[in-house]
Amino acid sequence: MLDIGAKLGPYTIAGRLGAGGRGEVYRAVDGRSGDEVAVKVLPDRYAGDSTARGRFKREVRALMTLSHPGILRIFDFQTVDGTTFAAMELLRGETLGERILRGPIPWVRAIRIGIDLAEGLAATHAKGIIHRDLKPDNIFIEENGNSKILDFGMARLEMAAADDSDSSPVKTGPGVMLGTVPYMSPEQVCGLPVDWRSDLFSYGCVLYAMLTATVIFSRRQLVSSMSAILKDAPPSLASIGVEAPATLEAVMQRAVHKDRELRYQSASEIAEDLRRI
Amino acid sequence: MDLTLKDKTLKSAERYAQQGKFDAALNEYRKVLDAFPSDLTVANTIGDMCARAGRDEDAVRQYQYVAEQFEAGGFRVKAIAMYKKVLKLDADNEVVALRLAELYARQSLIGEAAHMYAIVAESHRRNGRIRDSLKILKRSAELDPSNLKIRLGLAQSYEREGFTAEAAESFRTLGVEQIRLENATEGLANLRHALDLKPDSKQTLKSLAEAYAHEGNVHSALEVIARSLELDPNDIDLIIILGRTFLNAGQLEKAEATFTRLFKLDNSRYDYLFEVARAFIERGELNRPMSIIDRCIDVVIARRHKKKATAILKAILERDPGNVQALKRLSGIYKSVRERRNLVTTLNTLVQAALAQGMRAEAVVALRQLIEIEPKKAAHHQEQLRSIGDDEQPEPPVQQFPAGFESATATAELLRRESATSELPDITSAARAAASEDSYDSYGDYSTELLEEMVSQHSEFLAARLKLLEELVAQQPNYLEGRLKLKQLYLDHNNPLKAAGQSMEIARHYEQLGDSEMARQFLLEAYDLNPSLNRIGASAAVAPTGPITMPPLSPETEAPHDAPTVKLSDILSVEEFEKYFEWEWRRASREPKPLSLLKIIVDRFSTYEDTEGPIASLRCLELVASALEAELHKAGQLLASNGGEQFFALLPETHPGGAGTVADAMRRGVEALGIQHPSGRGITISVGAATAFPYRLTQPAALIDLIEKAVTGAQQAGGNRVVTVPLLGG
Repeated sequence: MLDIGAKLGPYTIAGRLGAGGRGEVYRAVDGRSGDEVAVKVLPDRYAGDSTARGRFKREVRALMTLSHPGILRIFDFQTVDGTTFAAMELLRGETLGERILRGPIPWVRAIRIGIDLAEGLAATHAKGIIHRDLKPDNIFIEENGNSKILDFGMARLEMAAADDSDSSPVKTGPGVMLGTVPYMSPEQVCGLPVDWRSDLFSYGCVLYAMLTATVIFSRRQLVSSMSAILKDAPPSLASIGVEAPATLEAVMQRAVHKDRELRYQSASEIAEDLRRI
Repeated sequence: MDLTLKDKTLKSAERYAQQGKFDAALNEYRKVLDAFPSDLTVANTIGDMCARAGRDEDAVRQYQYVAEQFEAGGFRVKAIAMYKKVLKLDADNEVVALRLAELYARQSLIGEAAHMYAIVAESHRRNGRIRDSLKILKRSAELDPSNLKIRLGLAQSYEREGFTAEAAESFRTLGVEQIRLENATEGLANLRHALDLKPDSKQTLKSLAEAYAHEGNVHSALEVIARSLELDPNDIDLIIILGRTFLNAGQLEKAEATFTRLFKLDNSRYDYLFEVARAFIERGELNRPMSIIDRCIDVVIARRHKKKATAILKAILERDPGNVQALKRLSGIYKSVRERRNLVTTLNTLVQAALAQGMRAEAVVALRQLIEIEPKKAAHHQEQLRSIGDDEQPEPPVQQFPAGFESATATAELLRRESATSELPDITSAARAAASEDSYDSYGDYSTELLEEMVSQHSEFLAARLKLLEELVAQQPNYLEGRLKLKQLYLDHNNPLKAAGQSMEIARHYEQLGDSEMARQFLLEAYDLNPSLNRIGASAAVAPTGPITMPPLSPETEAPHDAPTVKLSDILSVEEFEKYFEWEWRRASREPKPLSLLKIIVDRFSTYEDTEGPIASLRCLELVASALEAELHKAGQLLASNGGEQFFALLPETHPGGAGTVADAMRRGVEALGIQHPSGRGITISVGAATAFPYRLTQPAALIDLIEKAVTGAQQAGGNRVVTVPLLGG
């Protein structure tokens, strides 16, 4: 844990914002510009080297060149004295997960958030970056109502870390399955190679979570959840007493199609359909 | 006919009119109207020509046609002008007078509407249609409930025409309103008159008793209540009024007996007994409150309102800090709700108080409890026991917990002890490593124990302790002991949502350890503290086995204004609301379903903002929003805000009556928040409510226009009121 006043390259730690499985986050001041930034220090288990980690670094660097309102901006990514960290835009607000805990989001608001997210995804997919773990906890709603996607590529990094560790708690079949089960795509559940359309499936699950404050394929047992992702039809909004335009439900249903060939083929297509509602 | 010819024909018509050749002029105008049937100016002129020609019947028919066309096109002001022309020629035209009254009402021209309704009612009465006449008067009274003169007229008309029941009810509601407006003399007179008309009306008896009690006229109140209770001895409302009357009159014993009877009939009503308890304390009688608490405590604990009981005991202790009986009861409550820190503090105070008063037995019992709860300090407490001459050695406390501590906290503590002796449960190597890293000792018993001690003596350390624990838990997510303490602290700070978060994390932890029963227990606790967690399904990682039966939820009624449940950022903006409104309007247009809209304005908010500053203002708005949203229960009902003191609520499929009920519940809810306003009157709201049948209207603008006027009317009438306007398209 870094103390207040500690230096990380050009950044001076000004306070602690929180911690999660993917690292500790600090509020810091960039000594060069005086701007406040968020600094995420990656856990040691991510510090080694592997093909996946190399790819992660390339993805982060690609994200650094991307300035999109729907994506958390990354300004810097480096390792100083053995500490790997990323300097990012400092956000004020709450995660979508926290917001959903207070109840469903009215569909007009869900559409606005949905458009922001779809546009953000479209921009990153265009750079060949896949999120792999899109879920409400990885989406941030700023105080001004704008939404941003966080933690791109982190799932890939976790996979790399898990590959190198004997104590990895979850391993399945031929591939390693990591992420948050109820939001995984069928191809992720099966451990198959994923492409950008896997994010679109997770996106559909997030849309459903916003509208209903429930997790579409969540079941009491992990295995049952995985089975639901592979087999169960998504329940209609009306069946759980949520009223929303049929066109919005159609977007959600198409996004969570089990067959990725029959899913939306791009996030920008989703954004366009949402704008039409 | 082209436009040139139209122009020519109109000029010709005007010439004829100037020459007094009205028939010729009419012929010309009719030619134009035949060619341009939607030209209402020409149609109106034809009416004028007919009037000038003395053909009043034709003129009336023509004006009426034009008025109807204007009305259908939404041009209400023009329609009003036309109907007025009709009435000039045909003053007894009831149909037109009524139409005019309705139009005035829709335009929120309440005074004019009332005047026209009065004319129509009088006309009906003259023609012997008494029921119709009363119906119109009633409509007029409903249009403007704040106009007590109209309501009195209605009540008198009912009485005059022999409609006794309706007259009694009208006098009663009028009297209640007058009492509310502090006009006690007329209010009581009308209530008494209502009772004269209907002597067996329980409702009127209740209202009268309440009014007497409100006025402090105990004797009359009691007389009326006694009469009412003869009709229904178990009427809860009457018993409450009776108890309150005794309470207000300072007859606390009788108040206690009355509310005890109420408690027996409905044990959720213990609040009234607590009111009596507080009055006893005020009077310096400290034993009666404790017997009241003894009577209610089980229910209070079961309903999670223990703070209400502890507040009374603390009030006793403020007056008598060494009151051993109060301390005993306080420690009993803390024990039953498992608040370890408070329990330890109270027991220590109890020991001191009991010893100071020579109550050795009480001190011994308290010390024995302390030994069980604080095994680390057992030696110290045993030394105390020995010093007061108690040589009996209690059972060794290790791994023993008193009743009430054997569940979550105790098990966690036992687990901690087990892990400290390296007897870890059989878990995976990764989890074992984590458990080892996260064992309690690695955080230092020293720091948490020291804090515990400091906090027990200095309440100002509470915030620091909370912060430190949050830091520790954030740093080491598997620090179970810390999470348990943090959960308790959140509960102490009245923050059940954060406590629920900790319960959920603890449940996950136990799940990882393979202890599904403990996981399930904490999961249920989390659901109980935050029911929305149940809806989100939490995480599939927490997989309790067997069906989960949710415990019944009890509404937390303690200090509601301390915790807004709604964030302003969660509420729709006006822009989003407009989109939603359009969608609901389109939906409602497809079938004959009503759509109601409320506009709510916080009264005198700019003064509040100027005086209290932005932070308090934001909090005030969040509390108001919480109170408003609390009244929206049905699917599709939505609240929006302009970011300031204005709110909108959309109520799909809601009739005017329902909208009025919701609006009034909102008004009462905000008033009940008890937020102080610099004016000293408290924060209140004005509400405008309107309902439309969109399938009969093409544009929603009229509905929006109506609520604007209604809410303005409510504000102009002094605020803290609801103004409803009649059905549009109904």
